[in-house]
Amino acid sequence: MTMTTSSVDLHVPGTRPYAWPWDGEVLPDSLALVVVQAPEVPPDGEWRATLTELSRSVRSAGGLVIEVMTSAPDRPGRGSGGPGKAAWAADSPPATLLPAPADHRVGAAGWNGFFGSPLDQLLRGRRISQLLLTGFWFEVGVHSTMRSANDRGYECLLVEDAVASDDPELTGSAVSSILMSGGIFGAVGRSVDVCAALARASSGAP
Amino acid sequence: MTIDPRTATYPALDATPYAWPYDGAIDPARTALLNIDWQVDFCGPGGYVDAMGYDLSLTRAGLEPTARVLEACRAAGLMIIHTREGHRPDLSDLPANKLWRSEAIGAGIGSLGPCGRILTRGEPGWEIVDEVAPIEGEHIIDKPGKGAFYATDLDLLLRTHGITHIILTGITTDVCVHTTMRDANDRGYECLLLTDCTGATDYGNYLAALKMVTMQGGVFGAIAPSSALIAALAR
Repeated sequence: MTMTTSSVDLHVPGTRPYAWPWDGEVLPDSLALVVVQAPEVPPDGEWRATLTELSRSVRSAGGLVIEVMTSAPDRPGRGSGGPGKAAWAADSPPATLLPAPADHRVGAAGWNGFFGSPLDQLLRGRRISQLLLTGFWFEVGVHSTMRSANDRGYECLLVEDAVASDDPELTGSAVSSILMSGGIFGAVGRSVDVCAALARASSGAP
Repeated sequence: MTIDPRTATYPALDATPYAWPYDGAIDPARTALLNIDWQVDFCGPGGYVDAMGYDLSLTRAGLEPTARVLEACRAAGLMIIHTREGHRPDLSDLPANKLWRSEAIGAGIGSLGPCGRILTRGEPGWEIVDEVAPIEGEHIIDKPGKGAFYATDLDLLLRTHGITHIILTGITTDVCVHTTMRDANDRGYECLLLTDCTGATDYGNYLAALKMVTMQGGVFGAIAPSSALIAALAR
């Protein structure tokens, strides 16, 4: 029996709490990998290799790769040396987490990657509607950026094995908050499943 | 001696992880109380949260302490701002994925529930509950998203009034309150979240959201029980 295109599932497998994306199909041309960074040395761990693989997969499928440099906001009278960790040192650009240069690298004025940055403009200009959220710190910059992206209407997937938390005790709740109310900020999935969906979508085969 | 309410300040209060505010005193002329989404849809019977099947006692728990804080802040002359999440009646400001998710969980935005159309401006479920309702002269921000700064005039309102410090109450802790606190902190506002004046649909997520504020020496500001604020404002 010949399968019709309508019977091919082009979601990312295994995402929670719903099959992502909501409207059924991973679209590499409309998809961006957002790699959030904090102004610190990134922690070691399996997530680094996972992110490397994911970035290669997004690239080869034709998606966009964007690095977002988040930082502690300036607070009047307190500068950026107060609560929250340091800002980026002006004289030393941060090292990349990626195996190849990103398509874009943008700086934000706070933990939310959209605040004081050209991120929204850049995504809209490229007709991007689907975002993969990765990077560090998960419960700080990644979460703030995902919340803001979702309010703006982007369809967001947190790639949970491509992030690092500052406080690992908070990882479970930071994931759980996304899952509440049917996916209040989007959905949560794993890198290997995203790569499989991207490969399927870019080859046009089920 | 009479205290001039225009120049009086109040002492910093015991908060975690630092005495709030960082600059030593609460200046009522520069401090706003921001009450987030105390709407029937989030804490009333028949509203959106109830329709999704969550335990309403968790989101209602902060109502009584918030009513006391509201009274104390009004007496101290703070700017009072209330927010409401909701969409235009024609749903033209509702992202397609937000609509789809709400329908998938059986509480479609704009659909008819016991309190009128869910999360829709002008409906009974969208109104702020009586316990903490706004009074004449207080400001209301209608927001289409979780964060109160996105697509609203909140920042303009705060700046125009010279506000630099924000005290937050509301629901839910890990969603609309946290998003708004994070965005306020990014904009340089010095923020305090009152721990007993907020609640979430999951108790563990409420606790984690509070702890998240206090990471890294107060990455998003500080937290304190309302009793500490009320004691400070009474001095």
